[in-house]
Amino acid sequence: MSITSDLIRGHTETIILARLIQSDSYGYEINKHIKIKTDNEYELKEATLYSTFKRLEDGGMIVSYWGDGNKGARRKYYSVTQKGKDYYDIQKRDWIKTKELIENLIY
Amino acid sequence: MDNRIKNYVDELFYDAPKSRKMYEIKEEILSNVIDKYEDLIREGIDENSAFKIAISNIGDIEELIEKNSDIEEKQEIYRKKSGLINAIVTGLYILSPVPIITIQNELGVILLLAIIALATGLSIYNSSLRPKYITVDDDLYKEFVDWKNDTNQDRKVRKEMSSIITSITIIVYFIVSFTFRNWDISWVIFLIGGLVKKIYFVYYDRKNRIKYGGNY
Repeated sequence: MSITSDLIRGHTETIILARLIQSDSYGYEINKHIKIKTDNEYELKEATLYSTFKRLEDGGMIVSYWGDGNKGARRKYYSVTQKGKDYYDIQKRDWIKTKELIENLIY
Repeated sequence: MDNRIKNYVDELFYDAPKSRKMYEIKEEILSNVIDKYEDLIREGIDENSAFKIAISNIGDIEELIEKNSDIEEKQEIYRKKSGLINAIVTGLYILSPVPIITIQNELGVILLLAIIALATGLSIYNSSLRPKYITVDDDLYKEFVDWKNDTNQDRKVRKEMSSIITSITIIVYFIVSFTFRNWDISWVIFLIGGLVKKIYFVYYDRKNRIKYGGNY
């Protein structure tokens, strides 16, 4: 996990946007989804998650609203904007290109 | 056990500035940690281990706190400066009748008006120093703006009435003083003017309170 996290970190925004494009969601649910999809190999820290949300929200990629949560506290939900979807498409395209490039270089 | 998590998160944010933004970050992190904890319990993990795993995933929140404290610092500087200016303004207003009492002629009046003008100018300058709030996307801020817009009309009327009464007071003061040459006593008109203003506002607020159904 520690080996891959540095490589993954640069894609945190894209990973979160990918999840939000499917449906509105909140911090823990997004993280759980990541954990399940990676077979327990990867999980974001709360602090990383929050600062990424903040960055995306400041950039107009996502918007947030408070919803009903567990008994302890309210849940903050996030929803992707059109700008966020566009950004996701660009990031995805870039990643596919980068992947091919690296593969060519290191094999 | 929920309390234990809450206490732990509270402790993490102990040094954080007491702003709404910080409170929201705390609430968001808390709800995520509680969700995780409850999930772990459902998976059959005992309370103690679940607590440890849940809190171990919070990570380093120092970075989040520091970013916000910059804003707080700016506001703190403003608060101090603003307090000093307010003290000077109040002092000037209180001292403004002194030239009239001591000099007792037109020069005294001019000095009085000059002091009041200076104090008012300082007061306006002070309000222009107020730092711009960065929390434009804040829910509460939006609510506040809505509320302010609702009452803006009332404030406008209040402000206009206030300046009208002040102007009338000054005009009456000069007319009376120049006609009767009673500068030694005519300053009482300012007190009467102030009183009229107070009475008007009490009446106006009462009317509004009735308009808003007693819950103003």
